Amino acid sequence: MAARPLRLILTLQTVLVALLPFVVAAGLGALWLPPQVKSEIEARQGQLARAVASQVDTYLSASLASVRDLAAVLYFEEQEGGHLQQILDTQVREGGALRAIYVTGAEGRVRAVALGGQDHAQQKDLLGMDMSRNSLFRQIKEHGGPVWSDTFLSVVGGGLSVALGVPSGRHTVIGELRLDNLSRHLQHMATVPRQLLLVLDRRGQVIADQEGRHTAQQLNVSDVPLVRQGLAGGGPAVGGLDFNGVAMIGSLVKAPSMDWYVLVALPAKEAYQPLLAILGIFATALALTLLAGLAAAVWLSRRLAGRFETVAEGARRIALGQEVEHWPGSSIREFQALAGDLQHMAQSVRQREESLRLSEAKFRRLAQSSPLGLHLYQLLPGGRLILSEANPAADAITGLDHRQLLGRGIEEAFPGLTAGPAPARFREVASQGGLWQDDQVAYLHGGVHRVFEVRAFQGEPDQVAVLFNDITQRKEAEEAIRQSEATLRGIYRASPAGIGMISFPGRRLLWANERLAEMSGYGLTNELIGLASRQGYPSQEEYERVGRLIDEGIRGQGVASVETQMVHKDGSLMDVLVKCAPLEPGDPSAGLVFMLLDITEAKRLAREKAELEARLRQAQKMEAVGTLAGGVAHDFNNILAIIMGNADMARDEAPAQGPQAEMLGRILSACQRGKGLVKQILAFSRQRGRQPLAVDPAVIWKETLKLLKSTLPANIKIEQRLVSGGSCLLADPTELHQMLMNLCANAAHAMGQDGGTLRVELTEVGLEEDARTLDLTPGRYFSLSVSDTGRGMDQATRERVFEPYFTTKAPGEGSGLGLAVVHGLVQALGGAITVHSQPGRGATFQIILPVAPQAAAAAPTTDSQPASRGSGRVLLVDDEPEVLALGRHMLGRLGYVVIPHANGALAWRAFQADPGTFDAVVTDQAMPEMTGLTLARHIRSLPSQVPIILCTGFMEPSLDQEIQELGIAEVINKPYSKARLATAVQRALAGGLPPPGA
Amino acid sequence: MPRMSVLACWGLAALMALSAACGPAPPLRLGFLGGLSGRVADLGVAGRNGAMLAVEQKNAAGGLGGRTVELIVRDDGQESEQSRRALTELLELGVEAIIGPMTSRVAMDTLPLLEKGPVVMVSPTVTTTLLTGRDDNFLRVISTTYQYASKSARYHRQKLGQARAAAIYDVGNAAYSESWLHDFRQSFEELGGRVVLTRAFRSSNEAAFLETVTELLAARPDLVVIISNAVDAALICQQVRKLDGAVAIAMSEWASTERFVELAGAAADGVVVAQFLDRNNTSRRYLDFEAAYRARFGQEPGFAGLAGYDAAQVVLKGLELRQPGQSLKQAIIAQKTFQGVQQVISVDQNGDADRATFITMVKDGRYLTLE
Repeated sequence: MAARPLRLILTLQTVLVALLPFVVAAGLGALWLPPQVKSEIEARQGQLARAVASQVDTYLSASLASVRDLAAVLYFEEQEGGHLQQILDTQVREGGALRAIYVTGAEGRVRAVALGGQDHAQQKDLLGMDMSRNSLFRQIKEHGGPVWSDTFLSVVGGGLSVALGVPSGRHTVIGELRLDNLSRHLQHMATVPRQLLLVLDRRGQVIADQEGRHTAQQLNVSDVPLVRQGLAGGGPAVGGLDFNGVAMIGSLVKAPSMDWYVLVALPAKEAYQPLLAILGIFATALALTLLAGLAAAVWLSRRLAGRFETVAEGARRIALGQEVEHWPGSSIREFQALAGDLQHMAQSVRQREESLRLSEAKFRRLAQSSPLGLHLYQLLPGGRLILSEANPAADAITGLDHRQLLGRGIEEAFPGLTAGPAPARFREVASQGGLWQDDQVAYLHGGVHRVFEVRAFQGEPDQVAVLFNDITQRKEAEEAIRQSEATLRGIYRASPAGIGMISFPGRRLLWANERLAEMSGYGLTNELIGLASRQGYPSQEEYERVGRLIDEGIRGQGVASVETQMVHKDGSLMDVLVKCAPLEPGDPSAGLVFMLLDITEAKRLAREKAELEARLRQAQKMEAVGTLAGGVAHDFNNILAIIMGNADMARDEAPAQGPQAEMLGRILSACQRGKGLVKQILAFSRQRGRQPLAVDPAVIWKETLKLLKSTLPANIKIEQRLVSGGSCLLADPTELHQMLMNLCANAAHAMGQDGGTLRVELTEVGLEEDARTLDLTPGRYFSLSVSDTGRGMDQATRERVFEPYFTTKAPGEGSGLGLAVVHGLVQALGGAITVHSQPGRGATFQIILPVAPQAAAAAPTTDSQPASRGSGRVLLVDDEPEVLALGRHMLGRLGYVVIPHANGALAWRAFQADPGTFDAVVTDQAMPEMTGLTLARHIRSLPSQVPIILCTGFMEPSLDQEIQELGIAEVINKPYSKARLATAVQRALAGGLPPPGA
Repeated sequence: MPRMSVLACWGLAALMALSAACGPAPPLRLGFLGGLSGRVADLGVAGRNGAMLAVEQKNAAGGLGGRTVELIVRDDGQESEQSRRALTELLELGVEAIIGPMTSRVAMDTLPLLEKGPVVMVSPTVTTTLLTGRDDNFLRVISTTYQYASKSARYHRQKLGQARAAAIYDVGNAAYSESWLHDFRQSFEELGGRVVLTRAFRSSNEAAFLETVTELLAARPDLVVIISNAVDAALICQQVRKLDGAVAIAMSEWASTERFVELAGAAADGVVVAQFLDRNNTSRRYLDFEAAYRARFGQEPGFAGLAGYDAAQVVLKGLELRQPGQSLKQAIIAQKTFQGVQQVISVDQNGDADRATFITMVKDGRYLTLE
């Protein structure tokens, strides 16, 4: 704000004070006086107007009286002719205001007329004049009483007149009144020179005015708003008006007795003259007061300003640090107080300066001794930042001699800073204030990168103080820590184990990694942290158990490792391995760090492994049993072979009928059953005893069912219906037998202790669409169904029923391979197997096997058929002497020449010696030193196609190919019957050899 | 505070010394010159009222070019010296134009005073042929006496078959009356009629007519022609009817005011006058004008009021159309035609006008247009 001289301010204020009362008075006067004056003027004018109206009334009344009197005279006294004229002349002469008097007849013609001072010639003109069209005459006729006319120009004298008509019987007396007298009256009544006095008729036409001019000109002022208002309202009206360009204040009143109006108006200027005079006086007084006040103000202000100047001079001396010995005295209390205050201020300033000096010295010593570097920069106009001061620590920290740098610009003194923001920030702080701090200010000096912590703040305007410290080593340490932490965080994040830390003894989670959150199902930040560790255990007992183990472990080895289970947020359990150790070795109170490994899968795998091992052991056990069974079966077969063979031969020699034959037959049947059992045992041990043949499955399975009846519990009823229709199935009878056995064993197990019904049905069916459903080609099939009334299976069980090792039996009750074997056998035969079952409603297994194409059923190799005789030289080889003897006996009885040998080597030598002498070779397979196939191989090494029949208790499937390659004519199972042996030898001798390799 | 003190002081000074800012534009002054007093005042007063009405209507519509029009009225008193004085006064007041005078006598008396200046007079009712065809500062909105007198003569001679006419005329307005009589006689006699007797009189407040009328009637005319103002004409009619109820009476248009009908009474019935005012006109313009005049002045306008109105409208139109460097006379003459209240007024290059003339007859106190 611009300062102004005190003199001027004081002068203006004094003038203002002097003027203010006048202004207020003038304003109030301006607001109050004009309306008052106007009211007074209007009131005066109104009074005058009423007075004029009264005068007009009086003027007219006199004339009215004259005319009325005359009318009365004429009414009561009929006057005619000269007498009437005389009366009229007298009236006009004495009336004064009457210009002329007419007396008309009823028709309106003038009978008599008196003209004031006019010659008789004109009188003659007027006599007999028709006034019937005269508006006044017509009004009198209508009204029947006295009527005043409107103003008109008189034919008599030419001036403006008004007429009064009074009916008088048959006559009408009309008096014409001159109005110029009225104007003269108004002239006398005017009180002020420029005052306007007008008498107006009902139309607003001027009929009298104090000058007579407007009257003579018949001026119509009805356009004046005030007049229009009065004429319309019929009553008084006051207000302003403009008359001939002059603004006036007027009052309009109506004459009491006529439709005339009196307007009194005064020019506004003259009306307000008194007010203007007063205002003029005010203005004059104001002007004088203004001048006087101005003069006084100037003089007073000079005096006051002078005193202020003196005091100000003293203040200036104080500012310059000079003493002021003498302060000017003053009679003005405020000035005295001001001088005293300034003196006091000077003393205070000196004291503060001293304190400031001491303080500055103290802070300077602090700055000098500070371990932090201190720079003071000064910001010059133009933006140059100059180093003005530096403390000794700045030298020590930077290694620079700051005395060489003082006065230089920051960029010049410290070029290493120019790449960073520091110079710009220092400038900002110097100019704008505030604080700038940075702990990453890099500085390259002498090839060494150093990091400084810098604090810049404004000391004074355009000055910045910078505190700094070399934190290079700290930064390096921080960086190392940061990297270490980053590494740890990476490890924590990547760790497959959940890692966390709990408080001790509170056992609340203080920290956890993402993996722990993932394992637990809790949110890492909003749920996991702070969670009590008890929440992770399935029970209080487990929690306490683990806690004890951890405590023991930490106390003993410093670290604890415990397997337990963790409860997932969703309630599921997870097997975990907890490793726990205190954060501070030996001080668990700092917290426990733990690692959780999810060992659920590992445990599952271990369990599976154990199961598999158990199964393997079971399978090995079964295999060993099978092998044992195979071996036992082999030996048992030999035994059976001897028994069967001898019984067979004894039956041949016994009478066909009789008890001997019967007993021998029973022996043979028992041997057959024993043979069947040997087959089961061999089937169980997974050894193939036979090759696929075209067999009638009904025959096979009937036998199987016979065996089952003896083995199944008595509370299981067997219903069977086996119809093959003469068709054959190309399959190994043993396998077929095993198939049904396994299905029935499964059904028996399903029925359990309660027993039930086992139904077996066999039919031959033709399948078209159903074949495709079963992934079979359309054609003829055998359908074998095995149904039980057991507990049935659910869908999950049905889906897995053919899986190897799947079993619903208790461990040790079954290997879970029975149905899998059936499934495999069916698949191998090109068939299909299905199961239908519902829980509690039994099960039905259906096996579809293809009918063998046009193959005659293999003749049931029942050994009860008679043996055919033949001839030829047969080399018989068997290491079992009893079997050898039996075989020799059988073949001998059949007519063959038998050359027996008890081992393969001897047989080979014999054959080798004379190969052509043998017609067939019948050899046991399982012989020490040389097996039957080895002998056959030797034989085949010679150009000999002698048919070789191989006898065996069990044949390993792996030898099938060798059998074919060697062209073995036939393989017969031991024990064989004589008939079987005979058939095989006969067939071999008759059919020739299958080509080697076929 | 100091700033406020300074401002307050200056404000006071301004309050105490109110300076007059530029005020409104000065009014445009027009003059009116007519007889407003005496026996012929009805003509002048009506003409003035007509002009006043036109000016007041113009001001109510916003004035002329943003300026109000001020009508300054002066009474010529139907007297030469007074009329010249009045005209001089008007010129000194700086009027743009003068509406008036109303009588040929005053026109003849005052026209010389306008010869040197740009101010023109536009007369509502001066019909003398003495001013016809002259390039002067006199313009009018009315036809000449020739128009009215010859039409009257033709009507009376041809239509009514009158052959003997006796005339009485006011020599106080000789420029008009003699002109009118001359034109009537010329037309009447060209058609075979004869003006058997003429008598002059000078209008005054003391004028008497019985004796003169007696003389006229002694010549046994079948038509009495009255060439005078309305008051005198009314009195003359009254005297004629006293003495002869049958003789036809013709009147010059000067007397064809409402005052004549009022003063003449029944004697006015049958009086034939050729005039430009058709009181039976029913046009909206005329009816509106008549209503406005009555509302303003409480009287019928008559031909003088209408003529005064028309004259004022011509002047206002001329001022409106006047181009820079162009005189009002040139503007009016250039415009040529103006729409009057009842008819179009044609102004020729000399400022003489032509408008239609009607034959009217007074019947039952009203002017009836015959043709």
